[in-house]
Amino acid sequence: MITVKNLTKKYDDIVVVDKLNFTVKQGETLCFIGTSGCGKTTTLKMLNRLIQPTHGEIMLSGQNILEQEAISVRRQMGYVMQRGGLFPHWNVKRNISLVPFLLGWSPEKTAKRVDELLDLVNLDPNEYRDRFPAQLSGGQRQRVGIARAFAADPPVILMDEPFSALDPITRKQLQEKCLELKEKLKKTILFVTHDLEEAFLLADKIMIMDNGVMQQYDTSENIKNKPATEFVKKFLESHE
Amino acid sequence: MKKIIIVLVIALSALLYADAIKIGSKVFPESRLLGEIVSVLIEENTALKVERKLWMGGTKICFEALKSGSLDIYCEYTGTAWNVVLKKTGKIENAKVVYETCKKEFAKKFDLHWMKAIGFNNTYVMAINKDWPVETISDLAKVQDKVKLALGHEFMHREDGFYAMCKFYNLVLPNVITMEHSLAYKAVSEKTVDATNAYSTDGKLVKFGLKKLQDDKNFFPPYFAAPIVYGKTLRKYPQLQPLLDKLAGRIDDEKMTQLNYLVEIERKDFYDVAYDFLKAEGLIEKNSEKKERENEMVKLTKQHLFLVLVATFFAMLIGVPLGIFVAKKRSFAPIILTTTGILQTIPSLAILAIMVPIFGIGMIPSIIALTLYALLPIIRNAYTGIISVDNELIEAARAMGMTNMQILTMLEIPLSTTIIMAGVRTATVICVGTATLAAFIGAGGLGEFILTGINLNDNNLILSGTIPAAILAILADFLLARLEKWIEPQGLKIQREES
Repeated sequence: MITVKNLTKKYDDIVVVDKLNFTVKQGETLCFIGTSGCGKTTTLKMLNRLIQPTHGEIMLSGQNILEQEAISVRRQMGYVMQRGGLFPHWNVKRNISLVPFLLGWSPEKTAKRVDELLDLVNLDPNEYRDRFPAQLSGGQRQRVGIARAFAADPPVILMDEPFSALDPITRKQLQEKCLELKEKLKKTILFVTHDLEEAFLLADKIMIMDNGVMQQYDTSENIKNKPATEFVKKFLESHE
Repeated sequence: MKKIIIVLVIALSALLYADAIKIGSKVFPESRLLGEIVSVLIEENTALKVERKLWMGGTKICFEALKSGSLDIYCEYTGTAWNVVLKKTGKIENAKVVYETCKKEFAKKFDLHWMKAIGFNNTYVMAINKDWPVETISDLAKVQDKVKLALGHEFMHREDGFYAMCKFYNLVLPNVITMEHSLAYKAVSEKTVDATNAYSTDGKLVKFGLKKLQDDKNFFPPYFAAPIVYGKTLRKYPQLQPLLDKLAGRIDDEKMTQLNYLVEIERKDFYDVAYDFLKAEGLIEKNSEKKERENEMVKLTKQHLFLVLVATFFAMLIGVPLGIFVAKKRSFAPIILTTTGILQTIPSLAILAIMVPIFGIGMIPSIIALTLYALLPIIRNAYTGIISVDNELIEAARAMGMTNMQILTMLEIPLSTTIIMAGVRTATVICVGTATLAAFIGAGGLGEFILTGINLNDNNLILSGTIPAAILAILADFLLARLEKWIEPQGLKIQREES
């Protein structure tokens, strides 16, 4: 579904992401992992054109998204941020209906969708629909953030360390919720984390990066059993 | 562009006051009373509308305003016109020559026309306690070792003041002190000192019962007052000349002193004094009635509010978009913020003064000056508001596929409303204070009380301008703070309360 070829990002002469090549199939979850500054977030942001690549192509369902308008590319991809990124002056309903609003959905359709999504992330619509972000806990905010990403039913969801700011118990709950959504909705999910355990739990495939270079791109099993490079070996050891 | 705006503003103001005769005065009671007399005379005897721009400023402002047609009429003194406007020096031969010269040269040089002189001569005079047996300045020679003088600073140091007088009259007066002039009258009446300088028609001479010494050798130049009229106006309304000439010789020194006493010491209303005088002189119809006039306080407060509201509105109209613009194009930020910052450091009185030669006098230049003054807090806050929106939210907005315009209108502006409003609030409060200065260029407002009060050395009058202005400022601050809270998006209110 997504095919990336020679994806490179340079700032002046500094290479942040170096000639990445990978493919993600429909319904698969890919996890980017590595130390801070390894280029994983940059890679994710190049996928929805928040960052403009220096070279390479990104094919989504056979079309190069770099040749399409950034705005319409972004509206086809849900995006979940580390601290939610909810608009503080909008209530939950309005936050979730942002993309449907931008796409011009009717109010009735949008309202129905919002309630459906709140149910999906285990928040009672009647209780939470009209609340403001400031009236939610961190975990609830992240649930709303996820609902917002799924709102217009995009084929691809991008997640940038979505659970790293949460306490361990809430994080666990949300990881499980995520797994459930993945099974149920068959979305293609690209996920950035620095938590190896999380990656093993959620990902079909894991990409380990260091200094902008792909170290290994494989299934959890293969990474655990057959580390491809010295770096991967060390990275695994440091997380035991 | 600038030229177009100036032309528009002038055209607009001309349209607004198309048919009104604009009458000005300087900032002292006698000049204002003369302005009021001329105003009532025209109101009661013609169908013309009168717009009073009394209490405007010094000779320079009045003269420039008349020359440019911002005023149609004001009363000037021959001696002042001779010295200040025509810049003549040297000994003056006689009063008639001075008047005729002024009349001729004003008509030729400026197309401004002197009407007949009203009669009195408001010149410098020496005033002495009644108990002294002296009648003329020459007589002072007999008592020159004993008499104690208290002089105003200006008279003491003017070239044609005290020393010139002593030289001219061959006087040696060793006992001289200088003091705040308005206090000198009281000092003479209480015999702390014996004599002071004064203006010959000053109402305070009556109040303190001082004797005027006759200028027996004609040392002091003549200051006969007469209305001057803008040339175009006189040609458009030729009936003004015979009407204004009816005032000729009606007010002698004694009468003027009395009228000044009424407004200055007894604090009678200028309009009433002018009206009663004209009626007693038979210059207005017997059966005419005094006009119902708005209470001065209400009128000036309304003017003040108008100045503040219009200026703040324009400042918002310009400042908010400009602030947003510089927040988006950061490279413009230093130049715009510095320029408006410099504008703010110019003393407000100076900004008003700069406006006069460009835009004339009255409301329009005042509003422009106040607008410029109010710009900085509004621009700065709009700029700060927009740049302080959390980058994470902007990134979220972009990732959701919002356009830049949608980000601005749906995210950045709503999140900055409080900061933007706080700027508007600061600007309004500054404006309320600065607008008191607008009285200096004839825009009225509460500053008129302050200006009058300073001139009459009347603290109560100063306070009756200061206190309402202060209350207005506090009220504006309070109401805008409420508005600020009210327009704050609910989600942000909750966020603020939770944290």
